[in-house]
Amino acid sequence: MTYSPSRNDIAWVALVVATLLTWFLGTSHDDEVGAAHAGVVVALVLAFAKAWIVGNEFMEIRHAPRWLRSVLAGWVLVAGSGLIGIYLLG
Amino acid sequence: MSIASHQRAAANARFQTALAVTGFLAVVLIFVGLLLAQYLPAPYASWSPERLDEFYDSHNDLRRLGIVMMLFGTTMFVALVSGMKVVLARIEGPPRTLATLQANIGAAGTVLLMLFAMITAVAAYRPERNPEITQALHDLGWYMAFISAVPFIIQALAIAVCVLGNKQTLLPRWFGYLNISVAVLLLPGVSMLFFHSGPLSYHGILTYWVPLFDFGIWMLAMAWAIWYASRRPDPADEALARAQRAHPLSLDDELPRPTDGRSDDARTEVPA
Amino acid sequence: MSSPDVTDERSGTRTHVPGEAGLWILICADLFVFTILFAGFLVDRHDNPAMFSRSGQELTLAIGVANTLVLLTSSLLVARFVQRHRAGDPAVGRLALGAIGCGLLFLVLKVFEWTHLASNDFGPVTDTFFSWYFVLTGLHLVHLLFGLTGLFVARRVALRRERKEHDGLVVEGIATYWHMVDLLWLVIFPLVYLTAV
Repeated sequence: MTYSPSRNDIAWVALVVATLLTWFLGTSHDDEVGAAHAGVVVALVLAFAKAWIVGNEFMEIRHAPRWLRSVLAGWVLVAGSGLIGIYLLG
Repeated sequence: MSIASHQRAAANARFQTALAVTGFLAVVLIFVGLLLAQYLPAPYASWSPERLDEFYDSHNDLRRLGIVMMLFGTTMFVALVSGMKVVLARIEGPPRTLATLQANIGAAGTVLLMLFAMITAVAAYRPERNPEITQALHDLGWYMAFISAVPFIIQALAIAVCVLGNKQTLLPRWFGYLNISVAVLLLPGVSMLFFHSGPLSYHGILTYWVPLFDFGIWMLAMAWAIWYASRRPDPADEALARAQRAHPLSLDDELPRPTDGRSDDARTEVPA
Repeated sequence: MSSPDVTDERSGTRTHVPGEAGLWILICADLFVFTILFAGFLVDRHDNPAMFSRSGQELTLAIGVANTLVLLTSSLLVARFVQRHRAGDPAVGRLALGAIGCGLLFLVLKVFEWTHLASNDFGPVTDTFFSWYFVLTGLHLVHLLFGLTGLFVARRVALRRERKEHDGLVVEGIATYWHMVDLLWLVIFPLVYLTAV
């Protein structure tokens, strides 16, 4: 049941790197619309990946029973792909 | 328990079940009524008076039927308020502070829901009148149901505090958390005053759809809780019964056996 | 009511529901409703992409990034706080204070952003984008304020000299709620700050 604290630190570093990457995506987009759309999709994928890390590591869902792990994974997959789908359609 | 008090308890449980069933029927009546009245989905807050007048001019008899169903359904909300009061009172014991708060604010909320049906009934009564008057009445009726979040928030929080704040076994703790969730989701409703379009207008996602379904689920959950609690003995009785199961002789030995087979002691004959 | 450790049949490892099982009703309901709001935001964006693009550019991405980093750090501190408290370490007050400080910093940044927008005449009634912006960030901020109050409670519980039976559950439950506040922001951030393009 005990966590190795370093695991949380690694998670935090990954989350910060993903955030900075999103920042880079948000500032560097050129005027081409296609590239900008791709940037948003990557940002959304990163956001849900971050949410998954927060859930699994900080919320400790990776130690939780199967149903709860499924809830998190299901939400990340369904909400993530759903929102990206809505963004891209139209 | 004496036979008389047994009978009383059984009757009370039946009345409680009746309240739960009434609450369930209220949800059905309100939702079917909303559908018949074409209030689901809602008329837009951004509609001109003429557009809304047209709305009231079409299918008006069906709308009136729906409003009548809503009149019954919204009034029946009081069954849930009363049933929850009994459940909370059993949890708390005297002086029943939260049960009283829940009942009073719930009664006030019931009146607002009834006014929703009554005032939209007035709006549907004379569609040939000046459209701006119809719009004013429709707005007024709508506000009764959807800006009235505050009393229901207080009611849900009173239930949540009672269920989570007491050491109790009558209701599961998730029911308390559900009530917090209900209160939070009703909260954005009050912001509809500022908007005529977008997510916070009175047909919008946060001020119509979310509160509507939140409220429906809440009513069903309360009906369930009233039914669930009605089938469970009071925690004090239960503890005594458990103690008696653990030491079956310790209480009996000291009590004189009634010759007619009836015991007037309320505690010794709780069925195991 | 409580959530005892259960052994998973398939993997044979011990599993544990963070906080109270009942609390997850609240968390799942929140996640569900926010997800619907996210979808509503993107659907409305389709109706008027030009307006969303124009208005979205009034936001300062750097503030969004700063707020994300602040919340991520608070979550890390809260996760450590829970572990140390579980291990019986009494010196966890500073971790909780650090997390509370991060939460307050988020609040300050948000209020600064809002007042900056308001001073440029952008408010919830300006257009649909700003309605959504203030709805999403406002509702999130309400959650954050609940969470901050919770963190104060958790700190007090953790610093009590005598442990009570349910202390672990209370601390875990509040921490779980706080992580949810973080998690929701992680999705709000790219939605309102980046989909303007």
